[in-house]
Amino acid sequence: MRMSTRWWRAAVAAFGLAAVLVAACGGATMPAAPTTTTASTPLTGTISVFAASSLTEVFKTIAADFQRANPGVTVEFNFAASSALATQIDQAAPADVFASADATNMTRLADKSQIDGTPVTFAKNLPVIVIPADNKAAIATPKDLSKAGVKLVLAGPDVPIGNYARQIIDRLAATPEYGAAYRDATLKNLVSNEQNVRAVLTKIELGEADAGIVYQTDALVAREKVKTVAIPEAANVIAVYPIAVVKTAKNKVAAAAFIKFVTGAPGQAALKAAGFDAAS
Amino acid sequence: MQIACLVVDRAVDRRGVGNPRAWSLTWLFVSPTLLFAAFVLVPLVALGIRGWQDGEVAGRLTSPFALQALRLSVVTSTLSLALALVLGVPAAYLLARVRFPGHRLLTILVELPMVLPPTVAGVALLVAFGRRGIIGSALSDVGLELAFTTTAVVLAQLFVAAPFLVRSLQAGFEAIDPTYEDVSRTLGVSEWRTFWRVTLPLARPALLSGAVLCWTRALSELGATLIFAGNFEGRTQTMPLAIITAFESSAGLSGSIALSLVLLAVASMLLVLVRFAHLRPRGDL
Repeated sequence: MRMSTRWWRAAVAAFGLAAVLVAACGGATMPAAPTTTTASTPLTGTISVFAASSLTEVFKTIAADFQRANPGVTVEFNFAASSALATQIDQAAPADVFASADATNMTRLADKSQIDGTPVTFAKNLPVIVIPADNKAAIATPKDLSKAGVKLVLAGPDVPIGNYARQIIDRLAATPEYGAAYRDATLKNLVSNEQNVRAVLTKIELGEADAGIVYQTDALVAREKVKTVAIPEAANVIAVYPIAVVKTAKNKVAAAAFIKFVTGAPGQAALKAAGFDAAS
Repeated sequence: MQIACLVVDRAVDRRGVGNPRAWSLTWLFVSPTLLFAAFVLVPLVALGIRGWQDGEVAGRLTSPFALQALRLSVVTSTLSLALALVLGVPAAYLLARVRFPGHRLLTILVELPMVLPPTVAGVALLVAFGRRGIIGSALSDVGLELAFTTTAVVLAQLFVAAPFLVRSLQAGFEAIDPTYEDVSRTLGVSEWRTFWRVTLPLARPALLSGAVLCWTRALSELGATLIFAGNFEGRTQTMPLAIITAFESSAGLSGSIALSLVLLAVASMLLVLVRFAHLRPRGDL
């Protein structure tokens, strides 16, 4: 009997601890009470924004501004590789807005009639080579990626930046200066296909790999830990970011308002500050 | 339903036919059990049904992508199990038989990876054995780099899976009456032979179940591997990594269903095999 009392006590203590933890964390997620109304018909409810990993910081900033302007709306995020998000939306994940880092994954959904209306391009970005600050592998030009022993990390081939990176390597290999052997030698140095652009960035920040290809905006986020090597303009590709309302969105009004905010002056200013290029 | 009847029969036996309290008590246990069984079964059956319906799945089952990942998974998890046995059997025996200062602390330490999220294990391994890790930087200086290698996969699996073997085996050793070992020794059998011929055979069920848990845990390892070993086909991309990669690629759900079915089949086969080995009568012991 004593044993069972003890067990009960342990169980109660464990649940108590869990309850305390929930209470301690709960404060941060409590939605702020609406205070003022700005628009004539105030927006309400929650919108779920599925956005490319590279948008993590800037979209959080934009959402904070958006919520300040529309106190009745709560913006929730799901940041991942655009390819992963497209699969999730395809499997009926509850998304209101989809912001992709390439046209391919947006088209993948649009072709299946899972997008409302026509996607709008809201930003552009430029891939760069990132290297750890100490640059032990002595990488100075894109050509150095093909040196024997260099550890190269890219995102998977279906992830937008992984796809762009492979296009860049192909384009470089097509120039007489680099030659076809460049492609094989560089891909031979590939040690990991990461899940998204931020996983690539982390591997470089940690110095686990010698070089990776990310967006210039990612390199800016980690500027204290990584250095960049520019890709020749002729060989580089420009990443295009489309945004759209998801067909099965539960809050289409607020979703459309968010997209308008992103493509409008406030959103564009935040994107510019984060290093993105204007859509047009 | 057979089980339900069995339980009902028992309840009736004990409490007398038609006792309404016995009935309610029985259903108090049977209903949650059935619900739980259904909860586990439905997703697995759904996997099979969707795999059957989806025309792409069959083709992907035997794709080089799947086979390569499967081979790597089998090789690495077997290596992990072997290492876990070499290190874990002596550790479990020591913890079961010898009381020494710090015994409880060591027991907790051994079990810690079991309650740790694998992603935490991955980050911890990275800061220890990564290129700039506490030990990894020294290894790197002598030209030994673990990150992004198959060795890193094995280390990640060993870290998260070995505790399952040690824990099970320690309990198994503790359950053995030391008298058997004492008798063996008084009969002049050496300590070493006693361990091999008496202790270990007596602990066989614990060893077997611990080994299976360890092996399957290694087989299913994802988080630590992704962080510490990276994701590269044929080198570090085991089945769970291939599943998540397929899920996030244009192959989408079809690819991940196919790979999941393969892994499900392998794991179930192993479980069934062990259960049968377990039930086989064992003669002398």
